[in-house]
Amino acid sequence: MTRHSLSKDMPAMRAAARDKLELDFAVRLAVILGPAAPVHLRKAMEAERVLQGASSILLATEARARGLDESALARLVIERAERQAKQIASLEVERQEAQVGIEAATNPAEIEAVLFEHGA
Amino acid sequence: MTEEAGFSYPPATVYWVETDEAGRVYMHGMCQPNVAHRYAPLVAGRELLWLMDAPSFDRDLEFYHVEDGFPVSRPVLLLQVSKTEIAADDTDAAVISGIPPGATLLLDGVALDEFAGGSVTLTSSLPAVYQIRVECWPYLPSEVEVVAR
Repeated sequence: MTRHSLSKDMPAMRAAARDKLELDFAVRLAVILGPAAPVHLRKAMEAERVLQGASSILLATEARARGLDESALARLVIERAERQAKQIASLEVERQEAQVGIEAATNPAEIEAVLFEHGA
Repeated sequence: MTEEAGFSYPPATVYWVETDEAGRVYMHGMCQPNVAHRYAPLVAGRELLWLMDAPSFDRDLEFYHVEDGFPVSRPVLLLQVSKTEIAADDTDAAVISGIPPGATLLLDGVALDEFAGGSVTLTSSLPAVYQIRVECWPYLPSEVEVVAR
């Protein structure tokens, strides 16, 4: 009679879980950033300059179109960028916690539990 | 040949099954007997089995094999499993028996080396779900799930 102790390749399972996690968080990050992320980034950079006294074609044009003062628009842009930064920071903390959880998992069920907890 | 009203003509259809030495069935079809000599296996090493009666393939071809010159359903491999849940203490064991000699035992898709058939005693120290599969032609593969808690 053959006797065999069943086991799992935990390093491989952790690697697969990390890949799944990264993919899921990349999607969540993309949702936060939105399709106009490059535009928002550029506006945030120019808004900083406007609040330091410079002018920005990008913000001035939009401010005119919306009937706002350029510096008022700059403040709105900075507020939005800060809200987004908080969301990204929260997501990043969660991602790092999940990574720690995967590394600490001692069996497949614990890995699954980490993925489930973070919606991956 | 069939005779009717003074004419002789070949039967309308003959049937072919492409198979290999082990009796696996890969494809099948039919043709008029007068052109049967033009047919050849699609893949080298296989052969065509010619039949006068239409074979009955109700399921995918993987469920059939050729036995005594005719396609028949592959037999079911009946395994005996002592239990499907074990304690993850490397002592509690599930025993799977009734495995034919020459069978391949796959544990989570990986074949167990030097397995001679008969029975296998499985333990585990790692809580997980394990997929056990036994393959032994011409039997249909048999799968068992063992959960270590």
